[in-house]
Amino acid sequence: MSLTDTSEVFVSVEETALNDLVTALCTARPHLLSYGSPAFVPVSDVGDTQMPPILFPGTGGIQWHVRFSVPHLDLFDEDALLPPQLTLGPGQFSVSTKVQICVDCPKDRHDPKDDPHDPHGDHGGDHPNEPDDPRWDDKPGKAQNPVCTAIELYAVGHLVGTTLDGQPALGFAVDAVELVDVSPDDLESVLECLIGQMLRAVLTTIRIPVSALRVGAFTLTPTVGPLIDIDRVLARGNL
Amino acid sequence: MSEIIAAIDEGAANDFLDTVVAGLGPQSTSGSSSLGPFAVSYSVSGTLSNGSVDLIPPDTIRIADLRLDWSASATLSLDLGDFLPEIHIPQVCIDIPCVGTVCTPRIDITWPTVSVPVSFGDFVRATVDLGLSVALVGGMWKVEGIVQGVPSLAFGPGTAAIVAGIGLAVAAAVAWVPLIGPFLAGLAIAVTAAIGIAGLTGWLGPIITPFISGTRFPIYDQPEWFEVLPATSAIDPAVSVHIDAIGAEVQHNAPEDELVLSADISA
Amino acid sequence: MSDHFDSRALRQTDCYGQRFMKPGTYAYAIGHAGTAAMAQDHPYVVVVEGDSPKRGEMAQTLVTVRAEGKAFVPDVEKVTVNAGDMVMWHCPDPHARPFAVSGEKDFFSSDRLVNESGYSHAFTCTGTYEWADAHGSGATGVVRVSAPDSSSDEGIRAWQSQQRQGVLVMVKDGQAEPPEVDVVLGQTVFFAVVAGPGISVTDTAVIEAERPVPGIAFYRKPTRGKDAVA
Repeated sequence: MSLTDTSEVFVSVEETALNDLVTALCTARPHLLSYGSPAFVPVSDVGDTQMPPILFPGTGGIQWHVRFSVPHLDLFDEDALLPPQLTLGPGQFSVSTKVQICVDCPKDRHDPKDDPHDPHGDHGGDHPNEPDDPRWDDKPGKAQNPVCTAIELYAVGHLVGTTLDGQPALGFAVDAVELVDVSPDDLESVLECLIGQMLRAVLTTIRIPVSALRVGAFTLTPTVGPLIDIDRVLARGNL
Repeated sequence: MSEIIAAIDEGAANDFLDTVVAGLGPQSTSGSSSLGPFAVSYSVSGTLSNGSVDLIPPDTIRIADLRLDWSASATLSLDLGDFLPEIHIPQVCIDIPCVGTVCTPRIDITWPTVSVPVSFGDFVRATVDLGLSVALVGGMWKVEGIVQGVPSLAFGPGTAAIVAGIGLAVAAAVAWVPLIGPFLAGLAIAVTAAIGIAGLTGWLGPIITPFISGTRFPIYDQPEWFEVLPATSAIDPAVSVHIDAIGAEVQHNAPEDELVLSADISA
Repeated sequence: MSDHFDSRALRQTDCYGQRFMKPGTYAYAIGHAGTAAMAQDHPYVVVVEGDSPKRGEMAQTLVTVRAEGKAFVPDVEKVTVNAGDMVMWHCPDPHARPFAVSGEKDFFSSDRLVNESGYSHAFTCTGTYEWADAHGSGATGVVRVSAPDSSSDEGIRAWQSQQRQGVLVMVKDGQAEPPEVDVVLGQTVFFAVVAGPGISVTDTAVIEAERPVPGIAFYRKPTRGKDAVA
């Protein structure tokens, strides 16, 4: 069968190229994957997107930060192993990423000498994993006592046609989310619900223009697709 | 297996090359040479328009009836003495009553060399084979269809009319020359015969053939760092991927012949 | 296209003839048309010998003029003729600028044809030409030049024969006779000035061209008062 079939133009993008495009987007604009309240994200910039704290009485607002690693896509058929709860059907992609969730957990200031676990006399403001990150020092307006966790996340979804600056674009929609190594189950369910919503929101911001799928070759007005074939996205249409 | 494949079928290739050829714009040249027995300075311009495209695996795009509309402005340097007989106004003797006879001398008429501006135009058709060329030049990936060989130009039936038109133009342009009146019709015939259809095509062919031969038809032209998204704000800089490789070929994927571009990229 | 002719400005297809009736030495100059009369030097001479001319026995001498740079030079600087003979000047060079012959004596000038002089012109373009005296004597005339029948050998032969036949126009006291003539392309008309105040035979188109254009005037010194020029 011809590539173009009954159409004039054919474009296909292997999943490696699709991942290159997503990686390029997320690397150039990391703020698409990183959201946090002012204690973590003092100002929106290319690296982070500032969001309001979580309001809760008596707290002055709970400071938080959520950051996803660059998602990796696997187009049907399944090449990357998924948790047993998820299955990758025809036309679907899976995405794996790691989400890091931090909250600022302030505690009353006290004499460092009283704290046997703080021999250097710090105020406990440094992130245990990223002590050099200026967001997590003890200056006012910065997270004083971030507490973080990282969770492996898997999801399956399907492609959606969308637009970007008026041009046809490829979007990603999530069908199901699965966290691994979280227990008990009802906590996992809560987190899956919470993080799934975040992932859906994040993925709506990641859109790849169709012109990029063809790296500028010819022109394409899609009439078929973009859709997932075996390990690739393809589209057909007219000049 | 390339990461990205873009392909068009023959019909789309025809439409695509319509745009490509139209985008080439007019070409022009000027110079001086000989047209038949005349020295001629000229400026010629030509505009291509697409014919019908035939994709021939593995790497040929054939354009049948590629059309070149051309127009020429030329100035012919014409020594009328080459075409007209030597003539003179004979000695004239007149009897003046009561005086005698007065005779004027014979006056030799020297036909001048004249410059005659002529303008004419027509079109030619040619069938050309484009070979595919892929190159990374100055940070730009270019895929071009390059005309192979020197095409044979098919001049239209209007060529004969052009030759006749030149003869008439010459005759009209030299009407000011003293005593030429009775010779104008013959001059037009002489000029037409001296140039001839073969003379015109033989003169014009080498001038306008370069408008076609060696012509590069741009098929793909993108920077090595391909911009996926333009910068829209300080926090949304441009997003680019690197094009590591580009390929181009004509494939027969039954039942179609398709022009296929392939690319490998990296983030 | 037309053939603007002017006895004051001699070209390849023109001749100026002057008959010398009295013995003597007549110096002359050849210069550019329009300025020859201003010549201070008259380096060439016509020497006229003998007694009074005999009726009907006029001889003719041709002086061929050539252009040398900005000057006009006769093929012989001194011409000797008998009284009553005619000297004719002609420049065969088609590229030479128009010229005039100007003698020291008033009667001897191509610019003003006086008694016993003549001007010939071979017409090389078809058309109807009205001519007049640019000096204002009132002499006028018409020359109609027709195209020959060049479509046949007979026509060509007839044309060649016609060219050998000159047409005479006599001008006397401001009157041309005949006032209108018909010739064929390439035929020569000889204007013989029997007597006159000093005329020219000039295409009226040339005279029209020489008229001042309204609104363009030579500088005139402004005057004060009511007649002052604004």
